[in-house]
Amino acid sequence: MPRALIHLLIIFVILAALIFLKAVGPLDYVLDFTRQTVLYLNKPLVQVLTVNREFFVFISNLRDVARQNAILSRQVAELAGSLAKLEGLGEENRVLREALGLTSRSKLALISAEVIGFDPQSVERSVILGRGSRHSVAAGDAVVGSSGVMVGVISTVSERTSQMELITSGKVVVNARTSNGSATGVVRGEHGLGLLFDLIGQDQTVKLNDRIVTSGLGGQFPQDLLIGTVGEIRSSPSELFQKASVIPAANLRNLQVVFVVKPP
Amino acid sequence: MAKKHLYQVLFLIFLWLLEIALSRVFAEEKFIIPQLVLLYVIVLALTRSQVESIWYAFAAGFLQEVFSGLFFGAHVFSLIIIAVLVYFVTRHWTVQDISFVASVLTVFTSTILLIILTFFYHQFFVFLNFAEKAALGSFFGLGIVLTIFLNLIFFYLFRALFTFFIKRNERPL
Repeated sequence: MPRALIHLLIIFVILAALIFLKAVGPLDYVLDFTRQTVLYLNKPLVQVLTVNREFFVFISNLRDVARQNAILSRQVAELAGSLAKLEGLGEENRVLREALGLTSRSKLALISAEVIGFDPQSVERSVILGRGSRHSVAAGDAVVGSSGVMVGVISTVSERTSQMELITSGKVVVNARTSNGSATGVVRGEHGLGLLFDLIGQDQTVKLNDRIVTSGLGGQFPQDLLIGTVGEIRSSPSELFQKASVIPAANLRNLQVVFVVKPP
Repeated sequence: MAKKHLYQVLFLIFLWLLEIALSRVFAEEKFIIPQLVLLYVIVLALTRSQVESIWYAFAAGFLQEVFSGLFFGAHVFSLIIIAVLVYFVTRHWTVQDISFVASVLTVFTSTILLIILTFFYHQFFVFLNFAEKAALGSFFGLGIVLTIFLNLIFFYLFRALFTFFIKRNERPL
């Protein structure tokens, strides 16, 4: 038997053993440790590359920088005014709730986590986070981005790292509703290609640009986490349920820091 | 001999770390990231013995599994197959010092083959209910053309590097 074929057979036996070890669990410690090591080893490289990237992005966007600056300055002034009004409304809200005897809305407990790696074959499916079971992360926890938008769900947890399935992954199904409450259904990922708002009753109303948020039904995910906006209605009155495509609100390709949501 | 393997392993680890760092920094523009680990495997299959190239393909695949969301073994399996195919083609169908056209075809085919093999490997385990379905469309995109172009540039760089060190230290195979 040719020598190379013997070595090939040995390698495939080793691969089978590794698959078994991965299924049983011991290999997860090795992968977990390797990810943590890579996180530290890669810091200088990432910093150098980030500086280079920012430099080239800045150079290519010089023409737009001044215009964006003017727009942002105007937005800051408008937001400052809105903030002042909201603070007044917030205080009024608190007073009314206390008067009616309602409990104050629970605040979510958040665990910050750095994104330390992406699936090398497909960025749209899963990412590795630098937090694990020792940081109280558990499988099934919702994950939000820095703007409070839902970005995914924790799928597997090791001691120091965890794997998050992006919300566009086929594994993720979330009970959802429109922000104005006119329609309820489920949002499911379309295997990395987008989101589908499904199982909407024909008697309910869903329109283009409606904001979709988690409904909190089932208790798995907190309610009112923004998922995205309706991009296209994909059904007809003759079907049992309505469907709509949802454009994710988060930029899933540029995740750097995310937050794992723990139930109160 | 041991020194040669040490340098090769260190170079592989460096390329892997660089590819991971690039995928983190340029996550929005993933198609401008050359597939350094794949190119390393191709060049090794071109310049080394078959046994050596398949063991290095195994090691490279294992490193890629660390951050992979696919069923374990997809990258190991794919890179080994690519190493075997590149070795076979460049020893039996073309010459080892391959022409420009052969280089383009090798890089192009390997890039596409890596995607297809990892997808079908994963789909096999989906069929056995050990993994969740993945859409082929989430692996491909029009930007793959840019990736292939970048792969070709780095392929020539790596090949020049390896050829330089081979001529300097060893007899050609």
